[in-house]
Amino acid sequence: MIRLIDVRKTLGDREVLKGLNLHVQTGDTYAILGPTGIGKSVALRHMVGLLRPDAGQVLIDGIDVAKCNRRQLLDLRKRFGMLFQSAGLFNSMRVFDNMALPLTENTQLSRGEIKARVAEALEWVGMSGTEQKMPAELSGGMKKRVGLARAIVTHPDIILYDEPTTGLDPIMAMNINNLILSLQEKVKATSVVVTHDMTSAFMISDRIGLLHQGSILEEGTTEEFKNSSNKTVQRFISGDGDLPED
Amino acid sequence: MLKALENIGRIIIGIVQFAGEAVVLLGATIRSSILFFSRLGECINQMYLVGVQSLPVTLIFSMFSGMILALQIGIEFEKFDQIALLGSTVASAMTKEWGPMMTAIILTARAGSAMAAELSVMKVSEEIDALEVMSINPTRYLVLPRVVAMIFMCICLSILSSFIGTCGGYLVFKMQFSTDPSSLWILSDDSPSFHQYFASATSALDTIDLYSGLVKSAVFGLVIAIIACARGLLATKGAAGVGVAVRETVVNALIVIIVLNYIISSLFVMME
Repeated sequence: MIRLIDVRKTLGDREVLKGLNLHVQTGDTYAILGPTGIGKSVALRHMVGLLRPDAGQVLIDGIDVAKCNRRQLLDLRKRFGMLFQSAGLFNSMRVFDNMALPLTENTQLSRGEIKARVAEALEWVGMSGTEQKMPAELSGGMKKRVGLARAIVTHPDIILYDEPTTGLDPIMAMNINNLILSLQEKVKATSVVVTHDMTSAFMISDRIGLLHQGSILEEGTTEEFKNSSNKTVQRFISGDGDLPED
Repeated sequence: MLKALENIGRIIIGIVQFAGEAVVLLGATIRSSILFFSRLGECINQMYLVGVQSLPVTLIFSMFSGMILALQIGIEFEKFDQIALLGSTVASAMTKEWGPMMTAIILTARAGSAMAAELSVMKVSEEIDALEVMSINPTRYLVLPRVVAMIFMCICLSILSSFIGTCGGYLVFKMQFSTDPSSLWILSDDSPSFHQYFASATSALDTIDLYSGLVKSAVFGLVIAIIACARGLLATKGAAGVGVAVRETVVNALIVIIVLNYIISSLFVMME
């Protein structure tokens, strides 16, 4: 279970999160929606301890991420997998080494077992046979798939997706959405997706929250969110006009 | 006026902030050094990138530095009929000052800037964050092998640089100041100039002079690597941030090196 309680964060001279409250049940997929630059990725980075809140709590199954020391944080992160906006692949490593890295560093698996795990994860994302390729040889969509495979190769409890469909054409975006859905079936992880892609959010999430002016403005199941009477929510769903500023 | 003061204040805060970050990174690197052997392979790879690839430019620089030094000093010594002291002066200057200094400048420009560029690109393309999320400590994984490699190669190249510079001084001694330039390439004890030069060079060097050069090289290597890694890991704002990280690495490292050079030299002078 992931809980963000009254989280505040200022970056530079701008307060990005102004008392963010969020609750993701174990096994659920929660989508944080909002326009670009509103602080969705900032919220996501708090969950895995890449950012620490100025105030408030970030609880992962009751453990306060902000209060973890370096060692506790490293242990906690072993439960996470994350797909980065730019995929975050190591450009100097082949696909296989990219994927094997968390296994060689954090587990006692043998070389054969690691090879099998990498092959399994690549098969799940439809990228079998690309082990020896360098990231520079892959297209944007392929990089996202490999990034996704790397996120799940450790069989994490929690998967974070940072803009999984951004920068992809509609067909590739749909492929990624289907992939996320099928992976959720396979790994049964708790997932948090940050996106401004409505199709993606409605397709893959159990619950949706709209981040607006530093906090969640409206939250609910996919159906509740679609039928919300909140004008800002409806404006965001339809893409009709700008959202009100601070 | 107020605006200028504000800008000066901002610069000072920036310097203090970065110095703090660099010291924290140094502490983290020292803490992670117990896991050094887990990154031995990468350390050797970095030694190749830092040291072996910098070897040709270091040799050329050192050779000509020694030659320039010998030429300028030799002219003055000749006026006072003290040319016999040229070997000791060049060897002493190369070992204590110019060898370590020259090596540090070359490694800053060639390897430090490359380190900063590589790490800053990794930072802006979320590779560092990916390492963190994978529960891999970037200090142990990336910084430690670079720091160890830079210190080790800075020491090795400094020793080589001092020797080559002294040899460069010999060439000038023979070509410019010797009475028998025809025996330039005959490096035997029969050649009085060769004997004269290197006897003078070796007699001038005490153990403390050698320590002085070695300590400086180690400190300079540490400074270059920590500044380059810290600048790289703190990079922001995309491609522009990479450029800033590289530029600041070179500027910061050169300033710190020249200041530390004076401080270490003073300490060794006091010890003599």
